Amino acid sequence: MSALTERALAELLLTGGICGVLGVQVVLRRLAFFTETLGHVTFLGVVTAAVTGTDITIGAGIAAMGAVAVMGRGGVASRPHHQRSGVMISGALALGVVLISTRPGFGKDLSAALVGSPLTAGTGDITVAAITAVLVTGTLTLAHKELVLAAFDPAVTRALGYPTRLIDGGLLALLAVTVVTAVPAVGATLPLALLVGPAASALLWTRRIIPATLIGGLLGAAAGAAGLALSLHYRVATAAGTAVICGALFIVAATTTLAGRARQTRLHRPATGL
Amino acid sequence: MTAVDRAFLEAVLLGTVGGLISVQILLRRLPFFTLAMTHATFPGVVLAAIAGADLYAGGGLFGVLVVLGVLALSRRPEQGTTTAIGIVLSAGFALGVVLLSARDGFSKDLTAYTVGQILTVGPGDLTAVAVVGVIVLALLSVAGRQLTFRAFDPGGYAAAGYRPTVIDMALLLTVEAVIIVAVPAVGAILAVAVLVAPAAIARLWTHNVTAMTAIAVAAGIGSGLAGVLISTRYDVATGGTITVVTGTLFALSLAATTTWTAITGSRRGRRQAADRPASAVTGPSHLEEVG
Repeated sequence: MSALTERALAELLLTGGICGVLGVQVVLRRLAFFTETLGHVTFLGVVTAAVTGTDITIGAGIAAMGAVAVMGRGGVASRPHHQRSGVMISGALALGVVLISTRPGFGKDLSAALVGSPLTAGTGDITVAAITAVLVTGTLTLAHKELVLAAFDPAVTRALGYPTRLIDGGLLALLAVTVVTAVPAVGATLPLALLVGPAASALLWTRRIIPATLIGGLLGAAAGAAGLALSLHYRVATAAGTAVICGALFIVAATTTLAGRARQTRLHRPATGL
Repeated sequence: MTAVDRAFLEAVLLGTVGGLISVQILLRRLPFFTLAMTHATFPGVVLAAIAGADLYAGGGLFGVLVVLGVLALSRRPEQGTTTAIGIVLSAGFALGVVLLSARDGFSKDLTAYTVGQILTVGPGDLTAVAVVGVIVLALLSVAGRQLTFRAFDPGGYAAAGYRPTVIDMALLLTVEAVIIVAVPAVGAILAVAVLVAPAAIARLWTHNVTAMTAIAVAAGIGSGLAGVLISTRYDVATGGTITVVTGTLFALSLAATTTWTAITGSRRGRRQAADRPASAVTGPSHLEEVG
């Protein structure tokens, strides 16, 4: 195994693990749409940084935090069908595409920013990922009770005197940091797959939060490693392979648990957009 | 007819079709679902390109599978639609990237499929948009009232003896058809702008469904024309420019209508109303935080 693939493996294991762990919170709070918006805004940040020649992590970080500050207020993030997100999601991406298209030979840069290139991840990227891993696991361990309580019953959390704004804002900020960390490895459009796929699968297999978080982390890291193996064997895009594996995981989880829970499905079907 | 003429015609046609269908998407709160459909149509288009089959047929077939897949996955009580849509969205897009990356020179293809190439549309693409436009017009004229009824009162709709499944499928398949014809022009990941933003703009100005549709069509056509014009003059990506123009229109409309309600609201001493400039059309649930 060359140094190149070793770095890619480290980057993908870390990114997959972080996303799998934090993904449980994303699934519990139904933040998928918000995460996708966050990814697109981060893409704009990456492109702006690349065009103006500043550090990409800083550009992505500013953009992601800005998105959290604008959209995270008043529980917007948890409203999945919000049209302003819909406009923001395509607007940010389009602005990024326009910016990047001002430079010659833009196709290659565009695909790197969109779908990542873990094989070019440097030691700096891996250090950032390691720091984020410590941050995410530390926060989830220390604030576990508060986070779960706020996810399931915001009203009671507020009534008990917890700072709900701080909890929600902190979680969204953590999500932004994770998306920014994931950009070098999986680009701006694919963190959603890593965040939601392993965690949603884990939550289908167990309904308890701590085991689900552990399983989600393991599945995410495994998906990263499997994606790298897939790309080395069949010469396909690494990050996209990882994301496809995350999707396949969920389909497997959904079918294996389908029969056992068919009864419950009929009892409490959620209100859907349809 | 030159390439630029065709691009203008395509922009006008797409703006019209997108504007018409976007109101229905907004009324049913389907923006995220539409986003998932655009992303998941992408692997179908790629597969068709690799297999040398018709792009529209490949994308269409895959899109229908996606619609069924999301509906099936979202029948789980624990996580609801959002998670299922999120997974279909990102994994579907990733599948397209994987398929594309198996071929050489994939950055260029990826760019064309994700952000579109309106300047290379041919007469066939124009015909396809026109045909879908006729389908959308037919759906709206035959079932427009039913669609509105279903959107505002699902329970009443079912109780009145209509079949919700039939009208839902008809709507979703029409949305999918619009996505497929939009992909060559604005790409798979920007198509959602054509399908969501016009109605989002229109909803800020009016609560009346007919007026909203008219404004949405005008916004769609206007941003399409402006986008092609700006991009040919300044030599930037066309699909992106169209979307940026739409986004700017939305931002301006939001600023204008928010200011207007704030002025009129404070004059009448109704701070409550000022905080919620347009709370009617899709119900209060996701509009409370405006302002």
